[in-house]
Amino acid sequence: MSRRHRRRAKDLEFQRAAAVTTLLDQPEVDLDRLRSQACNKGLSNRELRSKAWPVLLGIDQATFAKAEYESLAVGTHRDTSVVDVDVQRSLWSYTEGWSDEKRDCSRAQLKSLLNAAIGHHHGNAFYYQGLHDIASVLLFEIGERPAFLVLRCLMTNHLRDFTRPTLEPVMELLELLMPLLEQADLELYRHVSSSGAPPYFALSWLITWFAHNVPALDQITRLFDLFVASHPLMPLYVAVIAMRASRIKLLKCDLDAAEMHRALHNLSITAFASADKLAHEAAVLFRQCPPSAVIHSRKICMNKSCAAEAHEVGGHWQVPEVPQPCKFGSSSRLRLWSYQGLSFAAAAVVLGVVLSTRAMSDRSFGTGSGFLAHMPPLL
Amino acid sequence: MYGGQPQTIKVVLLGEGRVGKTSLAQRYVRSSFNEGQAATVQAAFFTKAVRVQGQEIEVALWDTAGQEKFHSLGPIYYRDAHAALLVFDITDTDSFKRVKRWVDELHAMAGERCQLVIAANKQDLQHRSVSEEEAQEFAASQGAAYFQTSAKTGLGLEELFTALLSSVLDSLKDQRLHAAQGMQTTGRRHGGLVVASQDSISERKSSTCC
Repeated sequence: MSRRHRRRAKDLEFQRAAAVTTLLDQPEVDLDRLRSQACNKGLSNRELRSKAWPVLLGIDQATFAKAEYESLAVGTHRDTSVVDVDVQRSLWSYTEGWSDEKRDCSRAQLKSLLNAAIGHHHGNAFYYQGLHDIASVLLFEIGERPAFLVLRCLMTNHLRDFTRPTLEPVMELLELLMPLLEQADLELYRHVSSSGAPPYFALSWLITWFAHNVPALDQITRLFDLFVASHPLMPLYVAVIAMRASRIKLLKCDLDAAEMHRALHNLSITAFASADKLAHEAAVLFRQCPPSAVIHSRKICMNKSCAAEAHEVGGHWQVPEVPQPCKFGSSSRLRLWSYQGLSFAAAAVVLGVVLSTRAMSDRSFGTGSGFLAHMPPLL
Repeated sequence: MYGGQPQTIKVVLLGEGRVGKTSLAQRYVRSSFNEGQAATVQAAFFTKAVRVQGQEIEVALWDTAGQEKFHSLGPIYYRDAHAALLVFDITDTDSFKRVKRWVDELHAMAGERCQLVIAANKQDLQHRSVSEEEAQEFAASQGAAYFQTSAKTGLGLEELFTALLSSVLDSLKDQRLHAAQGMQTTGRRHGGLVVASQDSISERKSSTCC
């Protein structure tokens, strides 16, 4: 980057920060404008994000109670051991050049943050592998205390379908990916579809908000600006834009499900378009083709997930607690069975019933979580 | 019989979180070990070219996330698998219980074609909690092969995969004998990132996107 470009980028960043500061300094924050800024231009820096992310989510930071946090941070829950092992092997991203001591110190904070946020929900919102990736971005960017408030809010809002006892709702949401790709890039859609690869390659993109896949903090926080300010399905739009940005590479990929899965699994999200560009284009695609339009045109039933029905209340996105009744009758439910493997999964559920007796007597995974006990009936 | 294409053998790695599934895959495919291996959030796919019984084989290895919550994704990856590699950590009794559950499910769901191999991993650690006798007896009672492994040192990995692949090849030959026509292979895929092992015949370059 030339000196002139660097200076221009610096000026632009300064203007962005000034715009966000002005918005946050108003006695009554204009949420529409703050949201627009977060989606289209980003929130600029750490200090501004620590203020703006809670505001965008409708969080009153004064509700933080230190004693409660400290108590929850050392408490236990269903997934305490999973959190332990995930945290122990975490924080390799964003910490290049750090000493082991410094990384361990952040891991201790990450563990406290996760345990407190999970404990706050008293068994109503569960940990999943990948939540620790989101939590680590929050921790590094806005600090432990605001990160706790944001994380506990997200767990029952934007991330609601991921914190259910099983991942069935997530699999349902991933059904929306290919129809969105069809809207964004027909040729790529046909290519990926013909490979037969089911959309599970996008699982970590969705449930970690790309934190598992984007190793640069400045890039991932720019995407988080968009996600915090947007509909909870916005990560699917970024996924589609990232695929479109990598189309030349993907179109060269063999028409083979496993190879396509690998290519997409290993896709460098910001290699062909910066986070800023991805965020901007995803927001455009969202306006052109909101989730309701895809669901309606494809007659997709969302029986297990709630994110598609998210709506604004007082300028903040909220996700309903239970799935809404299907508007398209029973026939369209067959769509969910179109992917290879799901019928097999259903058979596994039958097995789950058979084995549940054994699972009930073996509670090694925590209260009420025996083998397959978390597989809800698919029908 | 395969028009020059190597036989593809699909193996799925299953087991509790942090037992070393990804590390075993990395050690086998890339001969590397990473102390800071992060948690697996979604299934990853590896391939490796080897020669077994004089035949070119492409091992298609699917590594899965270990958290119980991801369990329902299991069938997507073990269906069509020739073998399931069930991994437990010898210092963690819960992880051995999880292997037992996988064995139950696979017996019921994956059919006889899917061969079961149990890996008692982390043999490099001293404080074992799962006794060798118990694990071996369990494996024998379930008709599963059993190997002691360490992803860290590489202990047992080559032996495990050589035996696994030989066993799958024998089984495929038997199937061909019993059903000369209509045998389904999972060998739809080809190409891909190929990392040659010490005994592989050649290192084939990827012709695809990876």
